[in-house]
Amino acid sequence: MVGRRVNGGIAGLGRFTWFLGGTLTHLVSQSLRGRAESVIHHIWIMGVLGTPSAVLSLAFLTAVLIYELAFHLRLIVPQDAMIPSFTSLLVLRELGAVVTAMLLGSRVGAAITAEIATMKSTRQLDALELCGVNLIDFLVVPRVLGCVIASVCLTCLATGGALLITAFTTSQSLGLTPRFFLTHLFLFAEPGDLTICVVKGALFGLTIPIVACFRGLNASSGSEGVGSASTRTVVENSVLVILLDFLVSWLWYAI
Amino acid sequence: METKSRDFWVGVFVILAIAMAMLFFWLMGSFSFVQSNPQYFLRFSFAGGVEVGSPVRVSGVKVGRVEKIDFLSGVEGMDRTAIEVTISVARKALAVIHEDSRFFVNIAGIIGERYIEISPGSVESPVLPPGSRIRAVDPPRIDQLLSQGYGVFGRVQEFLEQNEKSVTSFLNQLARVMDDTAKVLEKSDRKKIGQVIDNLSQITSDLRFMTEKIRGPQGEEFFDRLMVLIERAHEIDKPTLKKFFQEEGIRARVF
Repeated sequence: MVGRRVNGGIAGLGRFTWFLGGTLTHLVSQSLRGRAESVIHHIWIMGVLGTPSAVLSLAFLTAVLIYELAFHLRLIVPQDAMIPSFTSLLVLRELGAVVTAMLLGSRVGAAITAEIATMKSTRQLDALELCGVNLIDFLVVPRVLGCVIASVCLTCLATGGALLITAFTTSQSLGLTPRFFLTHLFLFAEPGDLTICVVKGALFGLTIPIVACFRGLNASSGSEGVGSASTRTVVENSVLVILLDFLVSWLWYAI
Repeated sequence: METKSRDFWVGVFVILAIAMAMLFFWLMGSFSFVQSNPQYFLRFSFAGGVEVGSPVRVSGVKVGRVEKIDFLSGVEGMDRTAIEVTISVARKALAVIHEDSRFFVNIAGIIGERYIEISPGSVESPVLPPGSRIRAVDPPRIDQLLSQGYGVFGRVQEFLEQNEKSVTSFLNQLARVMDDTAKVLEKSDRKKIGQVIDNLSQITSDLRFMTEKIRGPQGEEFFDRLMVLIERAHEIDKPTLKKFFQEEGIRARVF
């Protein structure tokens, strides 16, 4: 039983590696001609429609975080100038990209898997292959390109929006004026912190649709298979986002 | 129409994200939308923790930032490898930076943020032209001071441990002397002590008067005459003296 599961796991990893290599090769080798329409459509679905939820979620998470941070900071050092500075560092380095990716992974990842798994279940993928259409080129590449662009833009917008909204919410509870908050926002932050935020956004934007498409293409038939594949996508994407966040942070700051 | 509207919002989404990223970079001081500020080149032997992006202040007011830090070797007038810190200063502050202005590293706040402080200098001194290369004041090496202080304290401790008995005896004797002095002062008449101090004061003022006289022209004349007398006295030998006393003695007997 255990041996069979280990074998299955190794085989799955091999299939995923093959799929990842194929997708990256198509991404690099194929031109955008004829796919721009599809890419814009996916940016619209993944980015524009997801902006309000990402900005609001990150804003209120940052607001909660800043209350806790302010409480502890004021106990140790009564220096209010540090509250916005530490908040911006935390949001830029970690929360901005990770929270956006988590939301994107849950919303978009599950939707991509369900869509492709349903297409497989209803034999639409077989029809496409019969017509000589390359599935990776037709289904995966536009979604990956759209998701990378949407994720980077969404990360920037959500981070900026969250910090601006927090500047106003903190004036009510912490007694910091929005002007004070914004003046002290980037006391410690450096351009490298925003760069790592964008790099993480791009990496998560690349990971989420690849995992989602892989699960969708490998889903078992039937409604149960679609549901199971979507669940696995959300779980795997969440774990991968946290794992990649750790790896990128470690490589960026430690080495 | 629907596609056009979607494309429009996707465009807005991407433009907003790029604008947000540029705003962040601008707020962090990574680049400027307007003409760059004038620069000065400061040379240190030890930069004391100043980094790219550290603030530059004139009389405590933030007017610029550290743009670049370079290592230079073989700089005239500097025995070690020099560190050249390029700073940009806002045009409004140029008029108060004079040639005798001092550039040094200072520490702000309880967290010890390093910044370049510029003392304005005197009004009489000409204004320092932008682009000047200045030998800045090196910050104190706190680590060296601590290590030297540690060594000094170690030697003091060693000395005290080795001479514990003699130090204790010296301190006891000193305490006894202080006690005796206090007792004497208590027993003696305070008026008399006052008189003694007044007399001492009078004597010192008389001595001062005499020394002033000696240093003056009268004193010089006195010393000149004394020297003449001494020279004449050298010329008088024993027979002359004998003859003198004999003659004087005869006279004495005559009179």
